[in-house]
Amino acid sequence: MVDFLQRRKRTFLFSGMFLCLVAIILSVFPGMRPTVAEQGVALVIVPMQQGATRSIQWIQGRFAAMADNERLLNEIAALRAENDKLALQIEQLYLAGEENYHLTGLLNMRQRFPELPTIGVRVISQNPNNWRARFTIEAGTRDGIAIDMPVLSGEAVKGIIGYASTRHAEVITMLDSDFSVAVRSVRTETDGIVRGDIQLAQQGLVRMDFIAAAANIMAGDLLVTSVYSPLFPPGLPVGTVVSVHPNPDGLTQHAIVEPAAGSARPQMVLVVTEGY
Amino acid sequence: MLRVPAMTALIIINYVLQTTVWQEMAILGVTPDTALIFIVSYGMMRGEIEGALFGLGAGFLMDLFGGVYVGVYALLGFLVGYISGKPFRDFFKDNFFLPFFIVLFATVLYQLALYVINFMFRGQLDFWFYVHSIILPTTVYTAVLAIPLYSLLHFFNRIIEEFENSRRQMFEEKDDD
Repeated sequence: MVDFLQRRKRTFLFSGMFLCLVAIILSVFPGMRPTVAEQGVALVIVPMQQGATRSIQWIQGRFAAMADNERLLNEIAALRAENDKLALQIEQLYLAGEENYHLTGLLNMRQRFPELPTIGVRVISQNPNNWRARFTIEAGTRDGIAIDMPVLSGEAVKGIIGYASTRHAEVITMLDSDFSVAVRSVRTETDGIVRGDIQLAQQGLVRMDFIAAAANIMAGDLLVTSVYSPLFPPGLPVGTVVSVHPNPDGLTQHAIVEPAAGSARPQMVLVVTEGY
Repeated sequence: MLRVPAMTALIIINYVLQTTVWQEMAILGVTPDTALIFIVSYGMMRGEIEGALFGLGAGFLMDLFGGVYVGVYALLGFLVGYISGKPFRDFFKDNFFLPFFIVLFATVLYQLALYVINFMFRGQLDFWFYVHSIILPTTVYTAVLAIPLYSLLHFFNRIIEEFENSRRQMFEEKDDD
């Protein structure tokens, strides 16, 4: 096969490029993505990612325990020396405690917005592209996840579902340059659009645009999702204004915003499903 | 026959590690592009055809899982694999410093291509910001890992080649009989 292609290098090169370009053009149109291939590959990749993520979390949990409490570590080490089985149970309890912490956060969110139909899911991996701020969750269309569903973390907006396969989905976070949401300032009722900006993303910040020049918005103002947002329920915390800057046109100003959900990748998120 | 499943497994394992383990080892907010190291290394070891096919496979996997449009990473991987295999196949394979420089150069071009595709066409023209905040750190981080990962792939490639040679000799002996 390779020998055959070696004799037709130029044909091989142009055929490969042509096929890729056709795939790119086709995938621009909705419904033309190779979902069967994606689902087939996901059957292999997703369990491996879940295993790798859990292993990392286990290792991080161990290191965190060491850093946080040396006395506890010594105690655990002594207990492990006495009884390996007991030490294993302690590790499992630690992981359960970590999970409980995140689930409690999700439960608080649920209680705060009881009318929102939500499901809690675990984050399994991050998009390897340094130009993007996206991560993958271990739930897909079979769990009721669909494109454009809002994603919440730490009782605030985290992002939106950008792509959903059967077993996994990709979340476009607020820091990603493809993300935008209509927001309103709680204090002044000023409207605007919060969107990701790759330059600000390095500092864990986002940008608010389309603020009228006369609007009295200032640092410390809390922003929530607006009634004009077609995808997000109104009233969800988005972030806090850090600074406000006039635009050169003199008609508008923009603000730098710190996301309420933080910039770190969470371990668990809440996806708002249909019905709001 | 061993080569195809072995390289498929390598592509999958690398992708899983790149999306999980390497994300926890980000330096200055960037992670290394280990897939690119393997594409360049494989192209240098096995020539432009196999390099391009390896790049196509690795890129297609990234397209399926994280690409906005299917085919962008596949096309870039295909071209990088092809170009890496074209002039460097006859170089001494045990020279581990050559891959360092080839990966360095390939990463810069690859990241520039990603910048053009993802940002420049959308009017985000602050080029120097992208250079010092993403392209340069990613290139340095990736190039630093090029030598150990090239060595690893070189080791696996030698095992597979020895296996293929032994199989070939076995069949030739049978034919002689």
